[in-house]
Amino acid sequence: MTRGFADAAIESLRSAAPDGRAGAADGAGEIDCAVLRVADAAGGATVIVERAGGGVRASCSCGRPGCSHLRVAAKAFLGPQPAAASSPPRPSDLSAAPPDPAAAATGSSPADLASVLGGLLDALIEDGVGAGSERVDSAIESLVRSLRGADTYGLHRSIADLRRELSTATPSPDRVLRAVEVLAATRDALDAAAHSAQRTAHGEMSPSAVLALLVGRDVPLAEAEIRQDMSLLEIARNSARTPFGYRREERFLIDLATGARYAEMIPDPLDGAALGGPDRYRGSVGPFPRLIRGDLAAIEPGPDPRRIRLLQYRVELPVGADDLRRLPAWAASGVAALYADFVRLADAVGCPYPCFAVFAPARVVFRGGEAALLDAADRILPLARATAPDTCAAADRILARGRPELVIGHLLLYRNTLTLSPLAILIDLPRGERLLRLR
Amino acid sequence: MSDRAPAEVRAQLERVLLRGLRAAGADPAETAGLADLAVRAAAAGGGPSAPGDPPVLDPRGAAALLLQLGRAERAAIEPPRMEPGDEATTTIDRLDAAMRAIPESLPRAPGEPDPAEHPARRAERRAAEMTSPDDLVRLATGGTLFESRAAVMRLDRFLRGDRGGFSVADPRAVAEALEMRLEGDLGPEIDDVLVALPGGPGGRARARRGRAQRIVEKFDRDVRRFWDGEEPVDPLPALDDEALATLGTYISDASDPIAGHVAETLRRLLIERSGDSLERIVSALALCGDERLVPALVRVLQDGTPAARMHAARALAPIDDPRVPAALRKAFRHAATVEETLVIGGVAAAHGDRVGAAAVAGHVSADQPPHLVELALLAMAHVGEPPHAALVAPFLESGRTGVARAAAVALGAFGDAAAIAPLANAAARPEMRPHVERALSRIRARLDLAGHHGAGPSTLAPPSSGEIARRPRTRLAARTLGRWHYALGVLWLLLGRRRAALRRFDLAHEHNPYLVGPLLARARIALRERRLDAAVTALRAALRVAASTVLQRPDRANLVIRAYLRYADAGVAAGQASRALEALDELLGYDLRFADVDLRLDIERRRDAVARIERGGVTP
Repeated sequence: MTRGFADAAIESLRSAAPDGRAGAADGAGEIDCAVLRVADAAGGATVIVERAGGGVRASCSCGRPGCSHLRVAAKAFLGPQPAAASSPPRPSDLSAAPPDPAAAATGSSPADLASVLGGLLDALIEDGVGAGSERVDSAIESLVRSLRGADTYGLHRSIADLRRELSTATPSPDRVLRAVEVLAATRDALDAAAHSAQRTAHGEMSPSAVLALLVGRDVPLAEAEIRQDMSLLEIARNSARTPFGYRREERFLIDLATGARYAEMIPDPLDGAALGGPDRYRGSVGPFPRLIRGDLAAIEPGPDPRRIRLLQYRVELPVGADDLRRLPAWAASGVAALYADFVRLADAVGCPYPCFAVFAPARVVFRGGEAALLDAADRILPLARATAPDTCAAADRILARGRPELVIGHLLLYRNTLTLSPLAILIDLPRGERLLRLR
Repeated sequence: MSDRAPAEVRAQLERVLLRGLRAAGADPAETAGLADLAVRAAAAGGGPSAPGDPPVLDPRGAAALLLQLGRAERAAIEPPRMEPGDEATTTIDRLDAAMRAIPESLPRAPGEPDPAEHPARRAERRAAEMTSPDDLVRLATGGTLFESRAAVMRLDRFLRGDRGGFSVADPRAVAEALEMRLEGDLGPEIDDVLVALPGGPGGRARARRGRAQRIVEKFDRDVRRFWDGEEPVDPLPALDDEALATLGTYISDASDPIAGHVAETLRRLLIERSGDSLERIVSALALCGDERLVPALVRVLQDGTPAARMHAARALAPIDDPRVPAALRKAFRHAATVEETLVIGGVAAAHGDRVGAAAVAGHVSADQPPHLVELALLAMAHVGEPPHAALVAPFLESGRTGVARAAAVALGAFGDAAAIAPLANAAARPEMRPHVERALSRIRARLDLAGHHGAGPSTLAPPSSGEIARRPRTRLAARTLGRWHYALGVLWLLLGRRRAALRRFDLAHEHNPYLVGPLLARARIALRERRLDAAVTALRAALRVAASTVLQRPDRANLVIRAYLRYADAGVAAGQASRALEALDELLGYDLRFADVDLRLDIERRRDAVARIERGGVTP
């Protein structure tokens, strides 16, 4: 197909310039820049090949290093690549040097990403996730370097979690194993996507909910569901610095009409890093908490809370008490329901995964100043002190000040018990109801 | 495949994964278990073994088995339930112990402080145990920030008429003593206490509150207009210094939209890397603390430039919040410059974390560059203990005013009687006198609390430099003549004849060198004529004559600050940053509490900038 285009282009140029074979005999100049438009299901991208300094530089408007658009463009110049000599896969060699993930990750197809992740998992499992080794450290750092600038936000999160845990003085075996589980599930999902991709025309990643969560790439606007006239209340924020050149900023919103929950995922660049491609979402603005009139919003496919992009919106300040009082109606009031939500998500993903939760506790019990949340049936939801001790301690103090109406956060599995890592608290204080963020 | 329970299999797999396949494979004790795991892994869909080959546990198989066992485990999880009648919460205790999985530390000896306890909790206990309002005033004067705050909170009850649990004391005297402590980071809290009281202190507090409320209310309207789209410019960076300082001081009283807007603006400035605006706003937020801003300030602490990070650490210093110590410890670990290490180490110590103590003490050395010594001494105010007085006291004699001033601050914080004598001697330098007085009042308050009344010398060394080392009383005729020439000078000035006025002011000063009016008038004229050297010389002379007379009137104090700031700016522009820094240090040595807060904030900010220029970090 591509070759056909190249041949047709040559014919077209010949017919437009019959003496083209003579070259630039009249001194009209040299080719300085070639622009190629590569079409795909996501709307395509523009590849520019231009002179830069003493050489020639190729870049793609999608911004991903080594993207498929560049490969298609390369074929137009070079012709089809010779097929790699096929060889049977070798069993894992324990003494072999670690794979070079940087080389593999330059392609960002599901197969490339799965291969890169496989290398890291092999190193982790062979050397021991609790033992630590230079090979593992080097595999992680190499992966971090190679994925810097890519839009694989979900994968970034898993790798950052693992890296953070391994870099602590005393890594928690439970959390390290959870991180390994998430990476293994991600690799499986990528493998599955790679196999299904072979059947698609353009080799695009299948937009499954699992991939949306675990890999979490920017979705082209054309694949998002467009909604109008939404009344959204921002109920929580989360923010974490990543080693991939950006800070992950998440804003959790609830639709006051339907109770549907959404998340804005905004990669805020650090140190002037250039991020993402044409589909990168730069996020909405406004102080927390805020009421948002979403005139036009795009909702991406994926699990609850689905990623949302606010395309046209207005911010209304301050948030009225009436709007805050509507929130508990959309919250879970039973711990058993939260367990069911968590298990449902974990089964879909293939491993325990942080599950966003809005919980309306029936009461809070304090022990030595530390709070635990209870529902009406006296089922207990402890706070995730092992994971976020400082945020939980801040939550304790807020919970002790008044009557807590909602605790918003992520459910995390620790041993066989779910814990809540709080992000925000809606509390009834003597001066009125207030929504306070913790992160 | 053995018929072991899934939990047992999972436990073994986890053990193998933690050790690593390589290590486990080399351990004969694990051989049988590994074979069983390999069979299970093959059944779970992992492993490349060919049919007929003995299964081998490879990384892929191990990962597949881990996921499979996880699925089985999840199917069995159930929420724990509080047992009926279990209000003693033993269920929660059990859960907590299981969650943490961290062995309890060794039991502490009776009376030994809990190292994990925040200093604010100890301060609250200490204040709660005090029954004497006079002692509480002493604690507010001489204590740490958190002790002072706890004392003020407790005095609030006393001054509002709830005298239960307090010994007898004169409320008016207590209110006036508290007002004297107004200078510094507890301003809003003390105003909160005073505002409800009748009389002078209450009236002045209400006036301050009223002014602040008007500024904050206007800002609140501007914020709403901005988000409504009626105002295109972010109102926060557009605030003038006075409004910004007021907002920083009273941010804890501001509405949620204001606090949210401040946080959002900090985020925007970080992304845009607008260093100057960011530093300006964060330094204003250091005037008071607000827990709603903790996430935003922690973000600046992590993502900002070194200068912004130092300001963010200072802004987090007064905030009693569990998220702060952890953020400071992390920032200390990642500090990129020595300056950061010292500032963050000091603030962390204020929150009870002595992670930076050694680094700070190590920089209190004459071998270090002066700006680092100064930062280290300021950090010593939080890090240091009474035995450090001998280390710090020699810096009172430093030729660099900023270093000497920081030494006085540190010695005041130690509360050691041994520091009284060197401090009293340091008062001979006029620019040191207010800091020495404050440091001595802190030390004496702490010694009084400890039962050591009247320790050390009670008088300060007289001013030793300049024209008024000793103030002989001039003759009546000379004083009268001096006033006459001054009055004529003012008259000429009103008529616009500056040269004639200057002659008269010179004559007035000649006859009565202790009259500050002619000196101030000379300074005003010189300032108008842009003769900044002459203006500062005249002001310096006036301050040596009677610093308190000059600086207790806000208009005069503001004049002094403006003149020194312009003088410093000119110095920087002329490439004489050291001279500018000396002038600003000298200015900061005076008691400026009656000057406008925005100007005071501006001195600090300008000093930071000039110090950086002097170190060669920035070009003017």
